[in-house]
Amino acid sequence: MSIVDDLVENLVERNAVKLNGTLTISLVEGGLAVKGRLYSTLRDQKKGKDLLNVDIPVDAQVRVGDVVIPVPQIK
Amino acid sequence: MSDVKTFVDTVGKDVTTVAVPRIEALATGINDKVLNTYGPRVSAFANELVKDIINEQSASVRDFVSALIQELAERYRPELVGDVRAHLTQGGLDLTGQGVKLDLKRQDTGAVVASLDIPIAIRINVSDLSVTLKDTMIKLDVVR
Repeated sequence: MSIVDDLVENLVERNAVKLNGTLTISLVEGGLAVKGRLYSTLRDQKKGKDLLNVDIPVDAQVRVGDVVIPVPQIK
Repeated sequence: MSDVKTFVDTVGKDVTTVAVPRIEALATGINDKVLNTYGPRVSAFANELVKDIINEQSASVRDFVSALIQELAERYRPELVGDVRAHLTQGGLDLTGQGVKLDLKRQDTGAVVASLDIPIAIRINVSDLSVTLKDTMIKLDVVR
C-alpha cells in the first residue's frame, strides 16, 4: 500500500463532515429555485476537534420543461 | 167573486208556503249527502285509481328506461381525448387543457355523434418548501 493510500485511508476514517443549514425550494417561472446557506464542518473524530469550517451559499435554479399528460381513457 | 189573477196568486202563495221549505230541505239533504258520503268515496276512489296506475305502470316505465339505457350504452361509446399541460410558474403550477373534449361515438361505425369541449385552466399555488439540515453527519468509508 502506498503512502498516499495510507494517507487517504487515515483521513477518511478519522474525519467526518457535519452539515447544517437551511435550503428553500420554491417554484419559479419555468422551474425550481433552491436558495439557502449550508455550513459544513470537517471534524477529526479521533481528536474530537473541528478541522475546517466551510460556508456554502446556495443559489441554484433548475429548469423544468412543460409536462404533457394525456387525459385518461374511458374504458 | 175574485178574478182569475187573484185566484192564481192565492194558489201560488199557498203552494210556495208548502213546497219551498220541502224543496229547501231536499236540497240541503242532497248537499249534506254529497259532502259527507259521496265526496270521501270519490276521493278514496281517486286515490285507489292513482295507486293502481302507479303499481301497474311502474314496471313498464322501469323496463322501458332500463332497455333505453342499455340500448344507448350499446349504441354509443364515450371517448375522452386531449392533453393536460403542466407548467411551472412563479409560486405555483398551471394546468392547461389542450384539445380536451368528450366525444360521443357510434359503437358500430366509430363516427362522432356529438363532441363536448372541456376547457381546463387550473392553477395550483405551491408554497415555498424549506429544508433544514441539522448536524447531518457524512461519514466516508475507504473502499478496500
